[in-house]
Amino acid sequence: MSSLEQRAEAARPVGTWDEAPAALSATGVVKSFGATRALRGATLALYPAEVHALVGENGAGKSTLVKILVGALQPDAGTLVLGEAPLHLGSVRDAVAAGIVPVYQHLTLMPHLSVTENLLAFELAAGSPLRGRPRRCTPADARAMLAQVGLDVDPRAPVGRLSLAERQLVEIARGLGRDCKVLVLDEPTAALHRGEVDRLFAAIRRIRDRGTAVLFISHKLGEIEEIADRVSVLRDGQSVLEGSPRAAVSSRTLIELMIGHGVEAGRIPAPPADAETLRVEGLTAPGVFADLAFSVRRGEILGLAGLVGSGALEAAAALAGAFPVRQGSLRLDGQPLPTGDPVAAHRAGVALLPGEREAAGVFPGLSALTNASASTLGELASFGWLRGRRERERILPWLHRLSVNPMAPGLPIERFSGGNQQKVLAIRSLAMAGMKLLAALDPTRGVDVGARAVIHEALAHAAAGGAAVVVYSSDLEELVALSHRVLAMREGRIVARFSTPVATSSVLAALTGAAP
Amino acid sequence: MAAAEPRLERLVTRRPLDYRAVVAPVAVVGGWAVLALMNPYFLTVANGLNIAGQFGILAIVALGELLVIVTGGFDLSVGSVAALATVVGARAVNALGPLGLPALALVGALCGAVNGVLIAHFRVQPVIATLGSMLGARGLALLLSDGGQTVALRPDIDLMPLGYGHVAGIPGTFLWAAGLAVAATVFTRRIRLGRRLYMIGSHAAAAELVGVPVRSTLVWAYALSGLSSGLAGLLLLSRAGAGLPTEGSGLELSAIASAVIGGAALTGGTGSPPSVFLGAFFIQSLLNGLNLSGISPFVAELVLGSVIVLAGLLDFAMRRIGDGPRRPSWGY
Amino acid sequence: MTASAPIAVIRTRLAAAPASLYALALLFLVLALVVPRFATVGNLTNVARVAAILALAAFGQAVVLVTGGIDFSSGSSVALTSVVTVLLVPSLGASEALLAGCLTAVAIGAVNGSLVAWLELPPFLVTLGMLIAGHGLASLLVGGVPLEAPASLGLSRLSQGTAGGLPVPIAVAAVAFAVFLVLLRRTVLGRTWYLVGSNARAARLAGLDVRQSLLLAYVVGSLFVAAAGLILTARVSSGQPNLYPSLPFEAIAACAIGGVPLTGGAGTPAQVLAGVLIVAMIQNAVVLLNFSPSIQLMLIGGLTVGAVLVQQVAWRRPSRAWSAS
Repeated sequence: MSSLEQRAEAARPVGTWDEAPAALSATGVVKSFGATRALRGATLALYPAEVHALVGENGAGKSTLVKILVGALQPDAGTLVLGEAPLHLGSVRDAVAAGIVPVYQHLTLMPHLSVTENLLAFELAAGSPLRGRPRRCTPADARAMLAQVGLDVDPRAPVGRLSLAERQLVEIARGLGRDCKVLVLDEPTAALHRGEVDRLFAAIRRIRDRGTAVLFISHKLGEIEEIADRVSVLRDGQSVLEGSPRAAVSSRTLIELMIGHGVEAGRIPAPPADAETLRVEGLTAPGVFADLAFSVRRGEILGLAGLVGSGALEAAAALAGAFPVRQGSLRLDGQPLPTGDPVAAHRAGVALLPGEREAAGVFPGLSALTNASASTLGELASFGWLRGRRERERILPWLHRLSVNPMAPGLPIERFSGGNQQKVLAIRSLAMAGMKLLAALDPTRGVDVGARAVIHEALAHAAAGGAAVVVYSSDLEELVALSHRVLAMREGRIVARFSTPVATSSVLAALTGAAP
Repeated sequence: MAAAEPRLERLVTRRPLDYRAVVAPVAVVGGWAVLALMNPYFLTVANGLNIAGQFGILAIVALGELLVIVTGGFDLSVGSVAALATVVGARAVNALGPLGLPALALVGALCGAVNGVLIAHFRVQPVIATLGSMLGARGLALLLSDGGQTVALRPDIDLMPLGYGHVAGIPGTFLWAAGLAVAATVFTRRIRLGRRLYMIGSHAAAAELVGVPVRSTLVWAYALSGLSSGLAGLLLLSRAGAGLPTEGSGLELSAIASAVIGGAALTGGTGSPPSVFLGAFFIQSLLNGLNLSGISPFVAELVLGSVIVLAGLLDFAMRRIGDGPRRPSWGY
Repeated sequence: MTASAPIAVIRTRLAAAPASLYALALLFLVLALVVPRFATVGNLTNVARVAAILALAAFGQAVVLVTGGIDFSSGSSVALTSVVTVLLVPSLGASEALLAGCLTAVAIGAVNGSLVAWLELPPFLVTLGMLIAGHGLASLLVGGVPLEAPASLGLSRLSQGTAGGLPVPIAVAAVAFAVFLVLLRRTVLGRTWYLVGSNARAARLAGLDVRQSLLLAYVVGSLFVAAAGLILTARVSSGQPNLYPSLPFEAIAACAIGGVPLTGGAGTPAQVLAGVLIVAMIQNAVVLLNFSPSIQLMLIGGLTVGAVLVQQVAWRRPSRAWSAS
């Protein structure tokens, strides 16, 4: 057992908690979406009158678990138990009726409807269709609910007119306003400032003291330290820490559990002292990142490190035009590179390896070959005429090189595993001739160990071929092993610059602002 | 990244200006002004009553259409279903006397429910499903009427009072439509099912996540639209004294245009029955006024078509104004 | 795939053929057996003539469907083509007038495409509006009554004549099919249409110009529709606002029945052709069997809905449920 896991073992709960019955417990939950395994055996036990924090990086499976707990999704395997009795939730209505109330991460408000109606959305959704409006629907009732989170808006205003923070508070107020056994809060403070967070925590403590079990999901470890009684950690769909008393686990340990061990990539030879190819100056996107300035050389792999919310992912995306930028400039080989326009970026020789496969990467229904050649169509054609042979000649060798399995270029992309899909997406960029810059966003997320190694090698190959490579990864070990240099970002700014080899702990310290 | 600097708490009491609610009254007033200028007879009481009598049928269908548009879909089958209802109704009344009258409502609701099931449970696009039922209903109507003959009511059955009756000088059909509009207003504002339609249209995924039974609610929406088509068929039958298998084509687009002028966005989530009532009034006035002035009915058609496209543009413009510049929908 | 015995190759090719081709073959057999006079050369030529027009419209529709859109405006496009052509014949002469008619259809396509690509309006909305407005405009231009073209121009010769041994409409459709085939399978533009229809967001991130390809889809689609309009104009030798109002619906039905998913990102030329022939044969059989037109309506409607149903169940890619856009 590694030292990390020894420490986790030592932090396990003992004593009183094991005796009281859990308010809600989930055991061995498994859930897959097509080729992606979101949860591979997650376990969670929520007890009454306590705040239980759940942490994990993007893609760890937190939101999926939340949806299963509140009945929005059904698990492929695993059991739910409410109190003493097994629980089967066919829909959110069942959960709400059973006393489990969700406050979702991505707001589930209806923009056209008034604040009052949104506050009463659960009531409106439940009950016979021909019933009249719920009882507590006067503006005074609404204001009372809003007061719990300190929000003062006209209850008759349509929710779509409120600011993001106000909407988040309405979503929270909706959850707090019901008596419930279990309250699930998924990233409730994302858009809130300090004063609002304080008020929210006060409300949470009141609810906890009344006996409700509160599940609090957040990536802000500082807040966890403030509000949580116990902590669990999810990584890659599995529970790596189950309900330890928060006082017994340091933030450092939590982060290490969250981002875990990556695969040891081969040592990358130091880059030749080549010319600088990418220069970033004053790059700013308000509320996300500010004043970023750095440069990357040909053949160099630069790692952007940062926890969720640090702006590192968005910054990497912005290099390829996939995230809008308000101020600042990008220069590629001395030429200005347009921002916010992936088409122009592509024309300039910039490639993007997107992190969210299903949403932003894969072309469902089309073959692996078509998926892989999507960015090189111009090169493979003469005067608009697509040459099939040229396409196969360019792409097939890459499929072999990255060991795409099964080796069937005509097979629809959905039939490939997540790791192989990711390889195909990588080929889309790698096959570009004259690629000057490759931005890879979480290139090995949800990918098995073997495929990870292959993708790492491919990135190194791209760099060796003269491209500048910028990688964002939530897996710090992977990032440090892969990159020549690492920039650590926190709260939208670059807070530290490292040359590898560097100890992961040093980078960690920079990410969290703690002393190394 | 945490929200930047602490903000002052705002006492937000603003009443947002709802651009959409303004369109219908403005259209009616503006339209009447223009039409009155073109032909002075337009502004007479007799003509006004004329319009009031005619537009009842359109209003009823438009109200049903509104329910479906609010959910983000639309129903192209309303005209054909109304025609089918008149044919079935005529035969039913001939066979059963007044007891046969409910058949019209039943036929309409059934066709609507079929639409709803196709769309909600089998996930067929509303375009296709309602197009299919439009053709199917029309075909069935032709079939049941021996290839398109009108189905005359028995001489001893007289539904004229229903279709042409007056109450204190106000045309009966107008009152029927007004009554239905009141019912629809209560339904959309106070009944849970009505509110759920708006929830689905506003943000379907969110509606599901708070526990709205989306599929059965959608079936209700289309069934109610079909029901209103059936009721419109009842009025048609009363006025014509016969089942009309070929009637009603084009009614659906007028209904959609009425709803759009009445403030319904084709993307769903908004629209109120009183405004749609006004919208139908506008469309009918337009047809009446243009007819009076001898202007080609095709201008009206042109206007109708443009209204639908303009509705999309208007929607786009209002979203732009409301939300400020936004990223294209294909972005990170 | 490694080289294999000829039988295996034939077997894989058969398996790869779209289901609708088998349905087509089956339908043909049944009709030939059941319906008198169906399988005669004369009748089949008739079917081919009708199918030619529908095919042209279906090719244009399929191009738009592949990008995930839909086009209802072809009914009015062909009407406007005929009206504009006949109106301009006195001043411009036959060929120039025909060209002008053609350009009218293309202009409609360009407007549709611009609204969809740049303002991101829902295609069904834009094209439906165009359908109605176009019909109104066409009616307005001829005062609601069909306008006869001077017989001396011999426009109808275009439709009755032959080219390369085939009746002109069929020859045009054949050429159009070849163009359609090449466009979808062998050009960058065609490939882009599939990618955009499959996942527009991923297409943009991969560096493809989504807007431009959408605009071109509607413009190219309108070119096919323009060809249909020209043939129809020649056939009736007049400008008619009600030339073929159900054309877009029949074209959509043909594509759907052939197996082209309405959600975009897929569909082959063979599927479209199969769907067109199925619809044309059904329409022909209904006439031969003296069924009332209502049956035809119901059949086509039912088949379309059924085809989409089957697609949804078998395709396994959930469409954007419920909403119109």
